[in-house]
Amino acid sequence: MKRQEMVFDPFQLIDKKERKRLTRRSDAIGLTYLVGHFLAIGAGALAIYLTYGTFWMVLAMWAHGTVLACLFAPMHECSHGTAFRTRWLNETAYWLVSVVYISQPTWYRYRHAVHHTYTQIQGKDPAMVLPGPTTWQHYFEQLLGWRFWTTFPVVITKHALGRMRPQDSWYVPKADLPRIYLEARIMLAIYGLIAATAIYFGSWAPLVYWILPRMMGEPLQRAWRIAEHKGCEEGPDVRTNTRSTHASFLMRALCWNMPYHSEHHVLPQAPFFALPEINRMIASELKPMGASLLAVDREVRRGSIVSREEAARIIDERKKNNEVVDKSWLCRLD
Amino acid sequence: MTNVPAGEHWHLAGKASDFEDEDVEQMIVGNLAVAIYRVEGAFYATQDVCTHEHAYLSDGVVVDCVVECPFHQGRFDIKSGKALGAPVIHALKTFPVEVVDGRIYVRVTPEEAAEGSS
Repeated sequence: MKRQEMVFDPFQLIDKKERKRLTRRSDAIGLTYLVGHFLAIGAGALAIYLTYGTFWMVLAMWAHGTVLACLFAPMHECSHGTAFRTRWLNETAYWLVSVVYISQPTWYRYRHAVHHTYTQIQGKDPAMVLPGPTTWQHYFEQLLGWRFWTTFPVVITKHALGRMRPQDSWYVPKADLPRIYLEARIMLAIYGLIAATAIYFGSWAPLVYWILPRMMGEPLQRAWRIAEHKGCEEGPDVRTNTRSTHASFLMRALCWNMPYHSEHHVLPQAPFFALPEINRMIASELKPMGASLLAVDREVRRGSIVSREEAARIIDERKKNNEVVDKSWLCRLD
Repeated sequence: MTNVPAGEHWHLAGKASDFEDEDVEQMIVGNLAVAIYRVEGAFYATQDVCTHEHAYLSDGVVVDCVVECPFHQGRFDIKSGKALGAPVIHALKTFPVEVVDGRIYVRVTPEEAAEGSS
């Protein structure tokens, strides 16, 4: 697809000189956010340690897990290469965050590139969250991130064995497959070493401080991911297929400003800290911002969820009309 | 009389003074879109169309001696055209550049201009 063939070229919204200014990256700001994020993770781990064996431990694990799950934000930022000005810093942080968040860096980069090309196009956007029709089951599976834990281990193992799923093959160039397979092997070796060490010492630490909290902390970041596109137009216009949402200072910090999601899709080469300014410049041209995460969630639940019977009927109708029906749920891997 | 670089197929790309550092601008020669860069005071030229998906690098970001595509942030070395990693794997074609009397010239042969994409 040619960028110039998009139904609306978002570059029309910001002139070239302003784009140059808004796309300047900063190592200092990137490091501040990254160190801050990991300090918050450290604080969460300390809270679990201090409350170990008490009821409060559950709360500490949830809070810690929420911060861990929100590592998706720096992982996503690094995939764009916009977290830092210095490239090696960006790529080092990308690897570190990807290992902790549990995502394959190069594979995610390809998947995410396609998401930006074919945002909200069923069958083309591999990161499309809850492609309609959506039932309550789909909604809760997405919100709780369940499928990630059953699908990702299978996918990364396939990659480690030198195999790519057919539904992913079209967007990954063959020349880069060896890199993806090598990454999978390295990551599995790291995870295997952690598991073996824990078993050898009889330690529950990886489960208590990492995996279980991460599972508990999924809903908040998944809710943000739903808010970014769900309920927006399933079409190629960035002014209607993506949504920004008002968020508190703490939420914006934890999500590295990703609640300004429309602005990110308008100018994906802009670093996260430029998104509020872009919002002030062009918000009136974009889909109206969601009032809050809860308000958007309510809108999604009321406006987009249908019964199983209705979903089956819609899918049948689409099939009769030869329309694409994307039920592969690839998004749950991210 | 205006001085021009020695040899054939030089095309005027603009005035050097119009470029700030880390600027990139597009020029069209025949069918070919060329990106002209100024980096650390020197000028360079590559094909303007990204080798990943069709987007103009002249709409992209220049950081040090690297240009980043505006579409998917694929990165290329401006001097060599080398692709620097996912999602780009194929190198850019580069073109000779000379600055004479404050004017930037890019050498593009008629064959390159005819075969190129814009």
